[in-house]
Amino acid sequence: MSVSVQEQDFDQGLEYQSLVKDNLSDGAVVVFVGLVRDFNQGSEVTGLHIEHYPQMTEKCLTDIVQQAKQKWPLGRVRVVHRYGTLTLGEQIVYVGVTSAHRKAAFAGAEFIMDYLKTQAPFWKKETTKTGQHWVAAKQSDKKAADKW
Amino acid sequence: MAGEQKGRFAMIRVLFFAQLREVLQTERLELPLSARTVADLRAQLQQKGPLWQEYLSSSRSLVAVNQTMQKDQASLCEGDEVAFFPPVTGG
Repeated sequence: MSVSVQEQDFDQGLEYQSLVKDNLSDGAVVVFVGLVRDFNQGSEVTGLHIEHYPQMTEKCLTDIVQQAKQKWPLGRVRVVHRYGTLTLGEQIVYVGVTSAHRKAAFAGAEFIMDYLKTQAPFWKKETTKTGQHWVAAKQSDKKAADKW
Repeated sequence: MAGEQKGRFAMIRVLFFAQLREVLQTERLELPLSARTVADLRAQLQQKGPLWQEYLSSSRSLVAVNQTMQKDQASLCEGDEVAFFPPVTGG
C-alpha cells in the first residue's frame, strides 16, 4: 500500500528497504521526514495532537501521489502520515520517492509535501507551557502549493 | 429509487472538524437537504448564530463533499456527506 495513515510510528529503515528492494531501474531515492519541533510559530511546544478526517485522508494522499506520478516519471512512492498524540522530536510524516534520475525524484517529493500541507485533512493542536492551541495554516505553504 | 413517501426527507450529513468543531460545539448534524449548493448550505448554517456566521465564512473554512475538497459552487445531493474544517495543517 503506497499510502498509510496511522497512529503508530514508522521505521525509516524498513520504508527505505521497500523502496529499493528489487528496484533495479531506479537510481535515485529521495526521502523526506517531518518531525515535531520544539519551537513553532512563537511558542514552546511540549507535545502535539493531530486530528484527521479518517474517511478522507487516505483518499486525498492517494490522489496527491497519483498526480505526482502523472507529472513526473516516478518509480515507487510511499507516504506515511501519523495522527494522534505525539511528543517532541517524534516523526510525523514520511515521503519516499524513487525515479531513474534525481530531478524527478526531488520534484516529486517536494510536490507531494507541498500538496499534502494544503490539502490533506489533518489539523495540529500544540501543547505548550501556556496551554493548548490549534496551529494556524501558513501563507507560505499555500504559495508553495500554488507554484506547481 | 423508491417513490416519495409521506414524511420522508432527503437527508445530508454535515461534519465539523478541529477548531470549527470546538467553537461551534457541534461534531455532526443530520439535516434535510434544502440547500442546492455548498454556498447555500453555508448560508443556511450561518443563520444559526454569530459564531456560525463567522467561522463558516468562505475565508475561514474549507469544504469537502464525499471526502473530496470542493468549491462553493459544488452541488449537493441526497445522502451526501459534507465536511467543514479550518485550513489544514498536516505534514
